[in-house]
Amino acid sequence: MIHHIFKLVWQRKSRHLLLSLEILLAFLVVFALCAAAGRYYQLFQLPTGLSHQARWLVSIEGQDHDELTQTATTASNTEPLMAQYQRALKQIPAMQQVSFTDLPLYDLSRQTTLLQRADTGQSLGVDQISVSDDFFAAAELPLIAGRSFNQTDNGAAHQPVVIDQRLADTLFPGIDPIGQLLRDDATSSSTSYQVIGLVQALRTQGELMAVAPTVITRLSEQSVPAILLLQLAPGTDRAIEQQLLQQLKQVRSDWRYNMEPLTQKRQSMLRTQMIPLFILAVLSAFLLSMVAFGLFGVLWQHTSLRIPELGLRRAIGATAGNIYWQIIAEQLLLNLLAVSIALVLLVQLPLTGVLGEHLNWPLFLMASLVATLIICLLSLICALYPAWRASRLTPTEALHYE
Amino acid sequence: MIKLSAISKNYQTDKVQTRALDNINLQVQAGEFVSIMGPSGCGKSTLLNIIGLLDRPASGQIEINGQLLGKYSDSQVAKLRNQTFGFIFQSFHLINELRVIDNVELPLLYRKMPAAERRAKAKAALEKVGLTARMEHFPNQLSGGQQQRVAIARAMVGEPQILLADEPTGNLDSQMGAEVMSQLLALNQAGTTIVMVTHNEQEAKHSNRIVRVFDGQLVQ
Repeated sequence: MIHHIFKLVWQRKSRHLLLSLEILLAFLVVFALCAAAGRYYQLFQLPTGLSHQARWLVSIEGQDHDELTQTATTASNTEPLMAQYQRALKQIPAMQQVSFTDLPLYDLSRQTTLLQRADTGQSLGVDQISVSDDFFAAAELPLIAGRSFNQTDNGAAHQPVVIDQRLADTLFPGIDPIGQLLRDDATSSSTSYQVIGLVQALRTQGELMAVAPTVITRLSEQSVPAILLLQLAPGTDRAIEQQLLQQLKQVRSDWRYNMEPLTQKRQSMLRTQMIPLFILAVLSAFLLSMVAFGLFGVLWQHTSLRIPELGLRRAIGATAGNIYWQIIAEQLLLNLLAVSIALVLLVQLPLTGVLGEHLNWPLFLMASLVATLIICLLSLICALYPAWRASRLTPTEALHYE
Repeated sequence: MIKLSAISKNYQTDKVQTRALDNINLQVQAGEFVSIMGPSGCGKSTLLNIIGLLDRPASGQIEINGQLLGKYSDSQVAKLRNQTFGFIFQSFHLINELRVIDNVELPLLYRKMPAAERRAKAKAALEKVGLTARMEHFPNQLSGGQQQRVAIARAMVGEPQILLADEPTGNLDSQMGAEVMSQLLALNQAGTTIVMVTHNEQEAKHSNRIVRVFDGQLVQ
C-alpha cells in the first residue's frame, strides 16, 4: 500500500507542487527557529566565567583626566583612585571583594584586538578585557592553569595576560600556553604579552554570547576606574545601594555612579538577547498559521476533487478507515518529500561549515528532527478533517460526487 | 445467491423526501445474467447500489450467499464488496494518474496479497480483455472501449462471484459497446453472475432475465 501511495503522490507531483513549496518554506522557517533556539540552549549551557549572585556592577561616568586632582574629595590625592575606592568600599561590612574592569559585564559592549603569536607570527582576532588583580576572585572566575595577576607582575618585562581555552586551542594547539609570548598586532606599539594563566572561558555578554577567543589583560593600578565589580555577602539586599553611593561619593563626589545588581543586569541582557529569537518565533507562528490555513484549504480542495476516486476505492473494498488513513498517509508522505528537499539544501550549511559552530552537526540534527516533527504535526492536523469528511461519505455519494 | 426482501430506499433533500425504491423483492441465482431496465430516475441504479452494498436500504433485508447482512460492520461489508462483487461503471472510474496495470491491481490492494501475486493476477485479467499491450499506458491514452475493458479487468481481477454493471456501454459507441457486451457474455458463460443496468433493449436481450423498474417498484 505504501508503494501505491508513493506512486500516487509522485504521479500527482505537478498538482502538489504549490503545496510542497508551501511546506518547504514553512519547514525552512521552523528549522531556523529551532536552530536558533537550539544554539541559544547550547550557549546557555556553556560556562561564562562570571558569577552574578550577590554582585553589583558600578559604572562611573564623568571621569576627566584633567580634572582628577582638582575635584578629588579624599584627603590623599596622591593615592591611586582604584586604591581609594577599594579602601572606601571595604568599610562596608558586607563588602567582600572590590575589583575593576574597563568593560561592563552583561552588556552589549565588546572590545576586540588582534594578537600575534611571537614565535610563529600567527595572528588572531580576540576579545579583550582589562581587569584588576581582584577581579578573578570577585567574579569567581576559576583558573584551569597558571595564576591570576598579582603584585609580582609590576614592572614585568612582558605584560601579563590570562587567556581562555579557545584562544589557547587556536594559537597554541598541543602545547602548554603558560609562558608563551604574544604581541599586539592591532597597533603599531610593540607591546608584548606573556601568558601567565588559563581560564575555561570569559563571556562578558553573558550566557547567550558566542564563544570567542579572549585575552584578559591587567588593569594598571594607576588607571582611572570605569567599572567596578563588587562582591557582597550573600543575602545583602538592595538597601545597600545607598551605602555604596555614600562610600563612592567619598572618593569622587562629582562623578556619577550607576549601580545595579549583576543578577538584574544579567536578566536584562538575557531579555535583550532573546529579542531576535522572540521576533523569529512570532514570525514563525504567523507564517505557520498562514501555512496551516493554506494547507487546510488546499487539502480540502484536493480531497473534494478526489471524492469519486475515493468512492471507487470504497466500492472495491476499502473501509472508511482505509480512506481516512490513505489521505493522512499521502499528506505525510508529501510532507516528507518536501522536507527531504529542504534538508538536502540545508545540509550544505554544516557540510560547508559556513555558519561555523552556530550550526554544528548536533544542532543541525536536532533542528531537523524538531522542525520535521512540527511540520508533520501541522500537516496531520490540517489533514484530519478533510480525511474524516471523505471517509464518512457512502460509496454511492462519493461515486456520484460533483 | 442474492435475495432482496421488501427493500425500500428514500432520499432526503432539504425538505423533500423522494422514495427511490419501494418494497423491492428480488432474487438472483448463481450464474444468472439479469438486466435491470427502466426509465431515467426510476431507481434502477439505486437498486444496483443496494445489491452491491454501496448503499444501505431504509428498510428490508439483503441476503448474499444465504448470509443476512443487516448488522454487518463497515469492514465486513467492505470485505464482501472486495471479495464477492466486481463493479463496472458507466464512466469507467479509472484513476488517470495510475497506469492501466495499477488500476487493475487496485481491488487486490485491499487484500493481504504479495505484490508479485497482485501483478500476476492483474496481467492475467488484462490478458483476458485483450489489453496486455496497453498495461503500461495511462487511461487517457486509451479509447473509451479500451477504458471500459480495463474497468472490466479491474472488476474481474479479484475473481468475484457477482459482477454489477451500471450502464457499462452508456458512454461508448455501438461498436465499442458490442465489444464490452461480448466480454460480459464471456464472463457470464464462465460462471460469473451478472446484474446489469441498461437502457439498451438489444443488450438486455443477451441476458437471461430482464427486471423492469418503474417509480421505485418492480413491474414484472
